[in-house]
Amino acid sequence: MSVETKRIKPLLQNIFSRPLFNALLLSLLVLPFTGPKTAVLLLFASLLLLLSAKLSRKLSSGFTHIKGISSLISLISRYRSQMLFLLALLLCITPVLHNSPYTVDVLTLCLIYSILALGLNVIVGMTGLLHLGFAAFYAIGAYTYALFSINVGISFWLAATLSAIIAALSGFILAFPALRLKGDYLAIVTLGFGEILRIILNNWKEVTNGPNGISKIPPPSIFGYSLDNLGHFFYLSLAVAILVFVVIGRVEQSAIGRAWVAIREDEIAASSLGIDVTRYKLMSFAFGSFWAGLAGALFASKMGFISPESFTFLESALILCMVILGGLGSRYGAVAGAFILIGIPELLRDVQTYRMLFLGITLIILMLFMPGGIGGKRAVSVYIKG
Amino acid sequence: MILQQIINGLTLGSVYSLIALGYTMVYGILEFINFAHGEIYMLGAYLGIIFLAFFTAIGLTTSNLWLSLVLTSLLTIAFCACYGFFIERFAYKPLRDAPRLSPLISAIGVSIFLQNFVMLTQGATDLVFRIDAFEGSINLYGAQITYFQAVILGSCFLIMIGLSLFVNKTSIGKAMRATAQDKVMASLLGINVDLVISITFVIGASLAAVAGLMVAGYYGIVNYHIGYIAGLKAFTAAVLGGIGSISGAMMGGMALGLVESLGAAYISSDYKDVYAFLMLLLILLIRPQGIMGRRIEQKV
Amino acid sequence: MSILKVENLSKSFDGLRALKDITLSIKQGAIASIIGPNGAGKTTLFNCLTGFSKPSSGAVFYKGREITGMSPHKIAGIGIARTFQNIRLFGALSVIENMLIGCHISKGYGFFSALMRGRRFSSLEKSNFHRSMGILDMLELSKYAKHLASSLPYGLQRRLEIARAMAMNPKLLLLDEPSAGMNPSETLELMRQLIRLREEGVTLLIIEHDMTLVMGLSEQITVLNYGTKIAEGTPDQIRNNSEVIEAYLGSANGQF
Repeated sequence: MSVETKRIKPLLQNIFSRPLFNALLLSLLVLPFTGPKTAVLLLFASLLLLLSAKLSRKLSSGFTHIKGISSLISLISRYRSQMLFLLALLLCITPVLHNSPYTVDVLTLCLIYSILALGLNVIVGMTGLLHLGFAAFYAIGAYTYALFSINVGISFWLAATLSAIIAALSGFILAFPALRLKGDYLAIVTLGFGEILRIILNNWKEVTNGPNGISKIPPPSIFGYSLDNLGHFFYLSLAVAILVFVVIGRVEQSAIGRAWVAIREDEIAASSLGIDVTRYKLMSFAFGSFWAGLAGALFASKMGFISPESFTFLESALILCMVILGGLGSRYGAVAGAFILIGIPELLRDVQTYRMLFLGITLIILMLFMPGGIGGKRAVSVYIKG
Repeated sequence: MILQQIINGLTLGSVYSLIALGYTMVYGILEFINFAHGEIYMLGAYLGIIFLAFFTAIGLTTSNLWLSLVLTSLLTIAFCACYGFFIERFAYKPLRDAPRLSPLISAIGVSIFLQNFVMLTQGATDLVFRIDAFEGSINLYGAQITYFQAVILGSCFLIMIGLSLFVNKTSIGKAMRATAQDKVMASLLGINVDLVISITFVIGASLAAVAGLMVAGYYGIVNYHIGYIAGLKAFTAAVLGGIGSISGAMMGGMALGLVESLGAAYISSDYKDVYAFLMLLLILLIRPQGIMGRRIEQKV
Repeated sequence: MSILKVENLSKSFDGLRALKDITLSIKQGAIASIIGPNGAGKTTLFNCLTGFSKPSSGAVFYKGREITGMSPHKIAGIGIARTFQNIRLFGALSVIENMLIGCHISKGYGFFSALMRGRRFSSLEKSNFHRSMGILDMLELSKYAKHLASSLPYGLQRRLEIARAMAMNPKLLLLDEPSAGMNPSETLELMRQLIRLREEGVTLLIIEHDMTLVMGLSEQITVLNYGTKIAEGTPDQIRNNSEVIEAYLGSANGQF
């Protein structure tokens, strides 16, 4: 708590000490882009915001000392991500919602993104490796599924498993050389990999059909029943998402998960305790990418059509934002983050165009004010029995 | 033919070098990859076109072309410098003592925000603006150097000399180098580290603004996502030259421009953007300290 | 019978020689100390022994096996544990989590048993947990098991780092200034606990400035100055060595 306030304090001083100056500068900066009308509007809005924040800060400084309120807040906030997770689960199993195909569609999408966020959470949240090209592995999964199920005609299960394995292998192959690099460089390499893959998907027209993408991907089928019904597909996604949640949880609460967390916290200390840092990072990369591949297969079979457009950097950033929003290292948070970032823009259709704008702001605000995400604290737990 | 490609490559390389300088200077002082730096360049390109369009609309361009060009450039640089200053103060400075990934993620947020801000206010389609004054070229052994290319190469050369003089001779430049060596020691010696960092961001943003202006004038066409790709490439250039090294960034940018233009001409232009990234991957894997950098042993 | 042997070890950083021709031998089951003024190269020596720095020349043998230039995790894996001068705990994790991570090399199961959570997994996890609690008990830390490591007072953090290293079941434990920042009574307690560790069969090699601890515990003391070994012997021999007195007392005004 004290560390946090220490960090935020200079920021607040900065913004609030000279509200008029800052508001003026801000609106002047946006003037060429927005035209005078919006700029003036922004001037007043920001002035109002900054002034009221300054005022309320003066008023509220007395409140934080009251014990009852703060302990209540801390009680609620301790289990925030778990509560949101439960809410997401509740949404998934409420029958009323299943009457509307649109809702089912959105929920299915939420589940697919939950799998992606859970996978990325292993790499970024638990092991602390910033991965900016996760959509590439999602794409690898989707294209593998599409190509195998169309050209070879193998079943959904086989193709999905293959997609996941190939994604995991690609993760391993990328990580093998890249892990020699430290934090920031690793991030850039993963980003570069994502871009390269997208360019290849766009240009290797013989296989990927270029920007036009691949269509007529068959829906999954179980024991000969084709799951082309949206509702059935939803249950399939739910089952897979739960499986992923449990499997990741088990690995997380074992010596392997602890080794990942140790690497995230302090690589040098981890290696002094006999943890083979490179090996565990590789494992984390492959394990996380595996789920991206699986999510890709689900996505391809749901949509029936895929193109490179669906796997841009913004997609990677979106998944990253889910993980950070949910709180790095928290499985509950990852799922909650996916439901929030997919669900809320769908609920408020009007803000769809502003979605990425808000995503950017969310990332900044999260880093500045809530580095622990909505969960507040890290949620890595240790499996202790008996 | 090859001479032409080299000239084109160097022109492109100048732009990359200018952007790369911003990455490298910030990294040298804060060890932080300013992910949003490419967006400043994009803003610069847009602002250049917007201001020039404004001056054309009020008739200044027709009555006094050079005045309007100079005003456009100055305004654009000033605006971008403010953007750089503002972004550092609000999105990075509070995170200076946070875990290493925090400012990087914040920078990604800034980058996504700026891209979408421009897309929403200026539209998702290309913005086209051509200036007839720059038509015409010089013939050099069969290769064509357009006037604008000459302007780019010339001003880039001048800027780099100016920057080296600034960093090596002025007291602010010396303060910057001291801060890059050791922030704590520099502040103990009475250097205002916050100010030095702000100045670094302002200079970096101004250079990116110049790069944006050049590209806007050269191609006459801009788009809200040019900053992302160019930023990545400029970062590659900075790494290629050894991140933190100013001369390295210049050389890295030129080398990257050449590779890209020759690769597009002789291998395949479909994969134009891949060359830069492949090069980045290769350098990071083979010689992560870059051409000019030194290897540092890990501290225990 | 020596557990650790160092032969002509040298290390230079950019031409600066931090260690020159160090030769050293530690007896199994002993408590040995390395002392010397600041900058004498003590921590560099530790880093060379534990794989965090690559020696420029010379060799290190552990139980007769050469370990020069091996990576840190491998060295840890064969039974050499260490602590750090600037404590390196996993501050955001609880005390018991720190201990369980310390048990890493004896985890004894792979990826798929972790997935399946069979009987082997549970019994291994349980035994590691009990062993961790046992060590915490021995070092009087068990009541803090669920506290965050960073919330412990400084002295206890140092002790927890020792406990975490002990979780590895090491045969040789290198301690880098274990009593730094402790008050005299804490230091006495630490000494008592270090003797207990020795009774568990662990060989201790300690870098230390506190002369009460060094003189009270060590059977063998090595003195470094400017990267070279200037003396070696029992506490009595070191106390009376004129070269040591000159190098040491000249700067540090009589800690003996």
